[in-house]
Amino acid sequence: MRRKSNARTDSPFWAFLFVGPNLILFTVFIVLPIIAAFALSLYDWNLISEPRFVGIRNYTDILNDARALNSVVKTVYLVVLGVVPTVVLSFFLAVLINTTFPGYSVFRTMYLLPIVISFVASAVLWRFIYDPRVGPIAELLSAFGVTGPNWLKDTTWALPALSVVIVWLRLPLGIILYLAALQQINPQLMEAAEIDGAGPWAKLRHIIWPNVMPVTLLILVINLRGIIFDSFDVVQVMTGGGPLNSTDILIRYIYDMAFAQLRLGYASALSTVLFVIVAILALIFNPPRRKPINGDPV
Amino acid sequence: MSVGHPWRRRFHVSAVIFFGLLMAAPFYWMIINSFKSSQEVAAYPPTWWPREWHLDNIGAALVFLDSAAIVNSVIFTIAVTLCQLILVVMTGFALAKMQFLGKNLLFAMFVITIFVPFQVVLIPTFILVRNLNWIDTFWGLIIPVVAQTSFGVFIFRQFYISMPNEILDAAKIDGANWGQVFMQIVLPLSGPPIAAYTAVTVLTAWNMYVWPLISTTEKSMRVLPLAIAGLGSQTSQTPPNIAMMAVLLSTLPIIIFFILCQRYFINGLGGALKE
Repeated sequence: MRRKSNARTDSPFWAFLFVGPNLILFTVFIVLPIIAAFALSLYDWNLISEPRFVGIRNYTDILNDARALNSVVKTVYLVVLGVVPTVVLSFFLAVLINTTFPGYSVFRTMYLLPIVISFVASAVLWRFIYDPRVGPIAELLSAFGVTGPNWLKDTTWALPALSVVIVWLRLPLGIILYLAALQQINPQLMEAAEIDGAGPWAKLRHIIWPNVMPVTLLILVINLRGIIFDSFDVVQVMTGGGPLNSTDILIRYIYDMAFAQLRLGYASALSTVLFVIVAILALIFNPPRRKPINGDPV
Repeated sequence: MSVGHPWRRRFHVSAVIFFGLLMAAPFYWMIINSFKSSQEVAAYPPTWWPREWHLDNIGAALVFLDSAAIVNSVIFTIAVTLCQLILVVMTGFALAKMQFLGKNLLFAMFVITIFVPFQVVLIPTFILVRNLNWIDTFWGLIIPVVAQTSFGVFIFRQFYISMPNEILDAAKIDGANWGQVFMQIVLPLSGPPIAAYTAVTVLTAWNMYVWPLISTTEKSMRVLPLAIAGLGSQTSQTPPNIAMMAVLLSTLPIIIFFILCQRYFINGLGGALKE
């Protein structure tokens, strides 16, 4: 068999036809903006007056900005409240629904359904669910004689309340990834374990968990990145960063600086710092080899 | 987990059903409240089943959403999905099967940028679009989103790498050029990844919020998530039943799409693992 086509270089005409349009768009709208994002962080610019070069002052300003430091704390808090439950729950739910019975597919769809609703739509929906008077949560709590807080107006409860919504939205992707991994475990391995008398817990601990460990790291990184960068929609619609900046996570603060205060240079410095931190975390948890989902599907 | 005692099996099935209902409960709340009357939806204590089903809420919600937002969302979703698909399929194929100068460099560029979230380039992209006078145009709305091709290029390149060269060589020996090979042989074999990628992209585009928020200012250019976001604000005057109906209506097309194409979604999202 001849492998001629691999040995030589193809005519540039076809290569350019196939790659060119994408390359041009990608260069203009992705590569240049990445470079510009960093360059912009060295300037002071409000979109109207002339940009003024200020060197690294935007970066040093971050350290003296109480609101920025507050939003770093809130971001870390949201990551802890969001990433850990997402990973743990999607693992257990995937193990739970890795089965089949008559009518099973209807119930599996229920687990995956939150992936279809937009962050914005779910934020509007959950605002109503958290309603302290006519919401179902308040009503259920009152059945037990408990008076819940006004979740979204309470500086203590607003962020945990948001994290519930975010976890709910993020579970389906974790479940799908875990299911894919579970279905790759050799069934003979499980049978052998059963013959040896292993109970469900022993199988979970000694067969399932080690086999899905790589996926766990992937899910961890996807959610870490997703919660830090993509929670803007939910926070903006549900609390707008309030009450008293208690849900003012960094990505919302950056948006506020850039598009409300028009401090574009400073906002760029903040987003550069945020990106570098996330990139470092991603490299620690998941050395590059394969690839999480682009901007996440949800 | 398939075998076991009958009672354990029954417990397992019950748990699957229980947590499934719990995950779907917010949707239940959305549906029942979108059909309540304005009095019932605001009344204490809340009812768990509407006393009367008010179908006229549908009309009221549609008026609120306004046809422009619906049309814009449809245009935006179709345009983004189609354009992106064409770009990533062709680039992915070229990077897998063609030999040309700078190929590896190009591939490295796409892979590295997978890790850069769109939010990082949001500000420069906004400035760029503004300087092009593309604010409040479909160009400004669509093109910067279409350009986010890194992940798709990677996925399709991986797919085509595993396609045997012999299939292509046979056609090339018969004198076919790359265009003919691509249209007549490669595309017909690309159904599964195209379906998976389409499913995920349609979902992402339909639900996109931040970029439309920044790149449009006029009401006539709004997409559905922008219209919906207005319902969540503290100052919103829309009654909750109409708001819930609007959320339901804006989500319904994608719920139906999801249920019909569930297999492709799961392949598309779970497929990132395999390769």
